[in-house]
Amino acid sequence: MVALVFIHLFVVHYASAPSATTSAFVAARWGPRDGAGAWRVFDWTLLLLALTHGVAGVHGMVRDVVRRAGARAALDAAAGAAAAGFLALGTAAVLAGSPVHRDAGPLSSQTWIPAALVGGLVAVATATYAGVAAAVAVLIWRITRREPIGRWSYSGQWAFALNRAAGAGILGFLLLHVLDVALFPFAPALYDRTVAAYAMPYLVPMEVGLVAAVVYHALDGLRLMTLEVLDRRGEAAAAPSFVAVVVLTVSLSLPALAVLLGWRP
Amino acid sequence: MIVRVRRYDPAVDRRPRWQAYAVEARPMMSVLDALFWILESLDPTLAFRYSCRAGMCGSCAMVINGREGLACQRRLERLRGPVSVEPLRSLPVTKDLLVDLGPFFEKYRAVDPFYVGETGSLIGAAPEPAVVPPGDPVRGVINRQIDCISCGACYSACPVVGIVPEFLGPAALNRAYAVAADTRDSAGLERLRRVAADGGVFGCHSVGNCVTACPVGVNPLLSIQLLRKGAVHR
Repeated sequence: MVALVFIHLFVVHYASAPSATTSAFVAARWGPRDGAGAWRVFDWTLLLLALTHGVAGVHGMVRDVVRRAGARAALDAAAGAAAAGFLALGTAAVLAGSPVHRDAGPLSSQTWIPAALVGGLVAVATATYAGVAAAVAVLIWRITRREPIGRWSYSGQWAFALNRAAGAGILGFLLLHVLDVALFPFAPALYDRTVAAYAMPYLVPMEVGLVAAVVYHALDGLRLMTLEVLDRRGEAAAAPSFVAVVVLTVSLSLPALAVLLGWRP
Repeated sequence: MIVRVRRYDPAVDRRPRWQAYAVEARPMMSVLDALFWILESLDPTLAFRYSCRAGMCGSCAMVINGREGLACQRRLERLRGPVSVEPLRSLPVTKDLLVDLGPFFEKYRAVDPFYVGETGSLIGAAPEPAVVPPGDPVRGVINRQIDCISCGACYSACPVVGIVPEFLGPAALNRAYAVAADTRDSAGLERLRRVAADGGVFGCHSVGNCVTACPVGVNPLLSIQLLRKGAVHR
């Protein structure tokens, strides 16, 4: 899954920009030249793995914050059903493939859909900015008042919290992304209108944050798996490897920022 | 040196408060020494626990400048001032820096932290001690893990313990591993079944605060990881 994620990041955020992934871009991937359907298999596999991972992440978070067994089971079932629904939608889009005409499609008259999707993106961005600002404000307030900052003096605490926050953010965006890609076969013009919103300056910090979140989540997951496999041989590497992951995350996010600001390789 | 102590008496106070004391710091003075100085010179009502004063018993574990540690082992001169001193987290405060370790030891007991012989006997009926040569790799597996002094520092540092009440915590799971890894122990499968259940090893998020917080160099996360592998391969 990590390999597929990095290929996807490279294609969409490094070699191109999200706002440039228009219906023509997707048509080239899913169209007649995609002989054996390799890109469609790639995209569908990535969707399946990402949704499965998301359901597993929700399961873990539910275990952490919900005490009652019945509520846990209900939330797990809801997450599973939602994932199945989004997988079905994504599968339908992949199977439908490239439409013949850009202005065709059974949903082409539903102009409220791109407006709702862009509204969702703005809401996700606003929630992200508010959350980050609140966390930084609380931290600064406590430090300036010389209040203890809880367990935040441990690097492991930061690694864990960033992993959780990144996972939740990625899952939220993934669901919106499935909805906008699902527009492609059914209303390409509306899909283009949605994708054009990624060029909005207000969304740029969120998009860079999303790239950083994906890179961090993937690398931190690999880090934890490696430490677990290494057992005693890796026990001294926990803190240095976290620093390495943060440095790599920043380094790999900078090209995406440059692309979003207009630079093209 | 200013030492700020988190004061709280559940019988009197509605919420914890910080109280600052100006301590006449001396070379080699430990945080525990500073607390004694406060107790004897400034405030006889301050409550804290201690015993050996040599880093062996774990009684004086508390949170010092945001990190768990033994007050008798942390030198004032090596700490950035003002020094903050708090009781261990995730445990009920009896008074000031004194916590009730009851919940910690209840979870410890839940893993049957003792050797079980082939006949199901407990330690009192154990056969002759096993002969394990000093260089034997079997010894190497559990050597450090049995150094745990049950101070509660890892339990306090663990964020999962803080949010998931049924999570057994690093110390109990470390102990479960130490006895499960004993080749003479006959309760291994039962132990793995128990630690694989809700509140066990799969609730750990590999945060690793327990490893950093342990004042005697035990690695509870390693024990949890090895128990996980055992539970998966079971």
